[in-house]
Amino acid sequence: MTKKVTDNRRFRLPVTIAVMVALLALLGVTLYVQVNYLLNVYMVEQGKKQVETLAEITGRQFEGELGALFVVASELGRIEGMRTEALRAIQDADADGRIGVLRIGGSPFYGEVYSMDDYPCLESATHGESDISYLEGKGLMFAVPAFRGNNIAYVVYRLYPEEMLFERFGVTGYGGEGRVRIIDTNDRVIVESVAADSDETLLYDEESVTGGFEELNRMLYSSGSAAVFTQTSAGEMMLYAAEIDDSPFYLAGYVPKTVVMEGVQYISMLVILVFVILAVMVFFGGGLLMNLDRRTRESEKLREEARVAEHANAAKSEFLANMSHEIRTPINAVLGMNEMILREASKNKAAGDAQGDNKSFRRITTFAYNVDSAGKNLLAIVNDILDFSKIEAGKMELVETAYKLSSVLNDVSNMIAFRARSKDLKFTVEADETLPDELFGDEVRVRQVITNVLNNAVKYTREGSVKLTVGRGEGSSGTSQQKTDAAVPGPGETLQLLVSVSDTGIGIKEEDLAKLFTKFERVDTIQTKTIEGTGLGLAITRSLLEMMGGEISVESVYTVGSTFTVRIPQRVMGSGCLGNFRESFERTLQDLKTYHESFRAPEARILVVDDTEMNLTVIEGLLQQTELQLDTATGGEQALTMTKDTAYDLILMDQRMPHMSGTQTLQHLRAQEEGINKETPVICLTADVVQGARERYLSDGFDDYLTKPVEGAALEAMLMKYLPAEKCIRETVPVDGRKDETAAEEERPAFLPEELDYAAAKQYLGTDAMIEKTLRQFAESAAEKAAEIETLFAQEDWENYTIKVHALKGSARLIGATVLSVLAAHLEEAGVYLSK
Amino acid sequence: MKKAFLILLFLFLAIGGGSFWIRQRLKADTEEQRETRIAVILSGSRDDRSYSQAYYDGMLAYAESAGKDVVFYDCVSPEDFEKTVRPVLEEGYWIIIGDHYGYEPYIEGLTETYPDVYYLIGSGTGYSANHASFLGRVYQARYLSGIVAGKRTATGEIGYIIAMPIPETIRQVNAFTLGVRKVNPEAKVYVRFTNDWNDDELAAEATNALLDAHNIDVLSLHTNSLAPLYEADARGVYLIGNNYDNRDLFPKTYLTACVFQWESFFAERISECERHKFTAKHYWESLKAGSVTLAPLTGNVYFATGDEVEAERRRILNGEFDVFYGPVTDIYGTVRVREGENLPDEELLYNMHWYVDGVVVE
Repeated sequence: MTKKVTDNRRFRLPVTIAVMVALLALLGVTLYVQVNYLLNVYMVEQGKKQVETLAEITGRQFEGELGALFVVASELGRIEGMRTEALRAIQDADADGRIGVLRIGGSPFYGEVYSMDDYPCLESATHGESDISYLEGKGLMFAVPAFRGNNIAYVVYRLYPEEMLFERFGVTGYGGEGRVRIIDTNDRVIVESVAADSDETLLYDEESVTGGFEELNRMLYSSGSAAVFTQTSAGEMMLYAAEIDDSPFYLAGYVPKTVVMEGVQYISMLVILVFVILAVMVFFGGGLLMNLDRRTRESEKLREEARVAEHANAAKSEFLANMSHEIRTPINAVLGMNEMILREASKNKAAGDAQGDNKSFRRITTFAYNVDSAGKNLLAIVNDILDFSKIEAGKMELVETAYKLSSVLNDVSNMIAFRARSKDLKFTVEADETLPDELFGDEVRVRQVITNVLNNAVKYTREGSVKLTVGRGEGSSGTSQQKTDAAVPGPGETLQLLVSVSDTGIGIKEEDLAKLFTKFERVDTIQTKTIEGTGLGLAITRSLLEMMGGEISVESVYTVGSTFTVRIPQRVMGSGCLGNFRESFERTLQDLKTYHESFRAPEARILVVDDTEMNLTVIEGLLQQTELQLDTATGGEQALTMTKDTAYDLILMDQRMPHMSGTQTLQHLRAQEEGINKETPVICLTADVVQGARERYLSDGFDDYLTKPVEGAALEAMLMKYLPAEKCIRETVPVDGRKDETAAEEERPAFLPEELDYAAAKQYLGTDAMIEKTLRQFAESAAEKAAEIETLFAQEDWENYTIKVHALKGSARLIGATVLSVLAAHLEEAGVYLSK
Repeated sequence: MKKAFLILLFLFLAIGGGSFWIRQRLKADTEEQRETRIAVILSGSRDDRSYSQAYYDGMLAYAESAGKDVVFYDCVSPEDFEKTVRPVLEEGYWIIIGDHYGYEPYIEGLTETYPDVYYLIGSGTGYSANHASFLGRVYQARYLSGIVAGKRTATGEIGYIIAMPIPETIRQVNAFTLGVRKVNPEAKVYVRFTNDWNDDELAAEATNALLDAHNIDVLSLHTNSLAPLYEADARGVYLIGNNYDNRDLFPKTYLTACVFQWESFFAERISECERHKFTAKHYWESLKAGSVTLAPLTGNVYFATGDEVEAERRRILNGEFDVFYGPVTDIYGTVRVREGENLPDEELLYNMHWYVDGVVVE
């Protein structure tokens, strides 16, 4: 359907232009023809006027002749009887000797005698009418009566001999180009168009000319003059004729059309020219228009495509955003479920032991562990795929923060050491002590890259060793060619971090080296058949390195081993060195939170909403030092009631609550009529840290969010940000207590059970007193809470079950019951899955 | 886009359509020659043996010899001219010949509706673009007939019946009398009027009255009615006819007549019409042209009359003499035309209200 419309549209414009050009051409031709015709009409009219004028002139000439004779006649009339006198008068007038006078009766009085038969004008004059007669070969005679009183006494005539006629009466038109002859009613030629001795060929006898004159005669019936065009042997001529008034004579003649046209033909040519120009203009204008049209359509198409691409991209991003959560959730559920199986099995073990049913337990446990392992693998693969998709979509972004290199190396080493040990491989670490420790970059991705390479090394090594070497590479600013002797990059400068992993594994064939980093390809499938993996690892690694401005290279000898070298440029933040990284790492923990920015806000009032009382207590404790006025609510409804009466500077809202979630409470709050807390900043407290979480909470209406369990520093930072500045008094406060494991062990309070992580508790709760208080609270409510959970589990009320377990996760973490917290997390995931 | 298209279309239609209004023949086409179609309108009947029949005979002779399409309408009075002629014009006749001056006023009205038509009106005196009038110089024949009468009369008293006293009739009786006096200087011509051209009773009455009053032995006339001839013939008076040669009616008394011979005149004029060389003028056809003539003398004339007539005829034909060449004296003795002078046509046509010496008006 769309295609058809587009096709039609494509043709409309060119067709319209073609039609317009055709119309213009037609109009031009019509106009040309019409202008030509009108010009011809004009020329004919002009011709008629010309010949009329000539006729008039000739008529006057004749009149003049007669007039001259009348003078003589009147003289005669006057002089009566005095013959001599009369004769003298006549003689005076008769300069050229052509005048004659006849008496009534025909006898001559003066001059020659002529008969009336030859010259009828004499007879007419006898009867009193002046007249003109022509005798072929002889000449033209003018005769007038001479009156004596009322009666006619004489006839006075003048005869022009034939040979004189052209000279005397000859007429030309059109500046000498037009031929004119004088003829009588019987078409006798009185005066020819040219002199007798001329050798010009006259056209009067041509058929077309005589035909033309016939036509003119017809026209002369209704008007005094007429003209017409006709084709002759000498070209196209305009014929014309006119009556000579008061005489039996006519003028007739012809003139070449070209003489008449005289430049007029250019007018019609001009018309053609104008239209040609117009047509050309339309043509080009049309071409331009078509071009424009095409471009518009093209850009429209592009816009459409862009929109589609945009749409696809948005869908992809959303997919990615959703997928990570959607995929990880069931996997976590699997793992969570697994835990529960193990627990159940453990319970049965206790029961079975009495009956000696160990075997069943052990089998179930094995199965469960397998599930656990497979699940973790799956999670790893899924993460790889998701990461890869992100990179492909160009959505992978580096989140750069300050981090400690020692921390990364520590974690990585510990993890690989464990794996290597399980495969009976030797694992060694060598780190350049002079390396700067405080770096700026994407810690997560750096970690990922190093882990990836190390994992590969372990994966593809059946026996022998894996060695990790960490050092400085060329190009670290402030260094020279030599690695070890050059100066160490200082703060603000770039460190080219060089990480090498060597193994004694199966190696890579020379020809396969190129394929190594290609996505989805796994090299040497025969050897590697038993080894798990998607083949994406190295491709991801390389992409990440490219993003970070680094690179990866490999050296390998087939069946001997391989060395992968990774170079990552990282910005140096501080002057501390790696040293013995284990040591420095531990020191970091000590140095952590030596000082931190804090505040006091005795004027400010905040509301904390959380369904778990223990969490409220924790926050109270954390904010004790700030001297804030704190109100608490255990549910959304309670919070709404309180917010109606009291105006708060800030509200901390737990998301996961029964009956009314944090978002719902927020919406009700914002919708409150004359709500005094309409503008109050509301911070969401949530354990949900998913991609796009911040955006989601912000779009829900929250001003910001904090992850649970809430850390004191983060909480303080958030409050400092959102509390009214005038109510906040900033100050730097030392934090007592070092979060050092060993040190913590020494100071471990007596009341704290062994299983609990003192360091963690200290981190979240801050003081021993707080820990004790919280722990007491926990212990008091533990039994109740556990019973609640079990009941919900038995009822299969998964929604509320999840909420409770979620709460338990948080509170367990607070008091340092890390294992319990993790277990609870798993249960929570399972619960979420089941709630769907 | 569409608007520009519509504007162009409108322009095209406007220019194209509007310009085709003006049309004129510019190139010489060979148009078909109109077939010559002549209609003759006669005031009297075609067999009146007089004036109208002269037209009829003349035209018929011409038409037959030249193979022209002619129609005749007789007894058309001037009042009926227009309504008679209209359907004729509708049919496409384009040369109209009439024999009565009374037709002339109606021509203008017809020309508007029917252009391209020529009118030739006999006895008329006017002319316009497409209309010519013609007369014959009957007076020349009258003069010759006067010689015949003068020679014949024994009593010296000649009678002359006239319809109305108009220049035409006066002129003719004057010419007649001049002819009479030429050969018989003492003779007298007694004139009586009937006041009607066609009424036989009136004509007969006047004739008898005239014959009763005088000792007339020769009579001529200027009426359409033939009654005077019949009356005179019955009383044994010699006759000279007019318009038409009626000798066969009066074998014993007929002398001669002044007759029209229009054939050649018509031939000439119609040829001119066909060639679109029509000249609008007043034709006064002379003895020389042959349109008027004296009928051959009968056996009743006085012997040797023929020679005299011939001699005079010759003089007229060669221009030596015309009837009213001087000297001419009127009845009051006034010299109207001196020797060596001539009366201009204008005088003859419009101003002759006087009678020459020898005419006695009763």
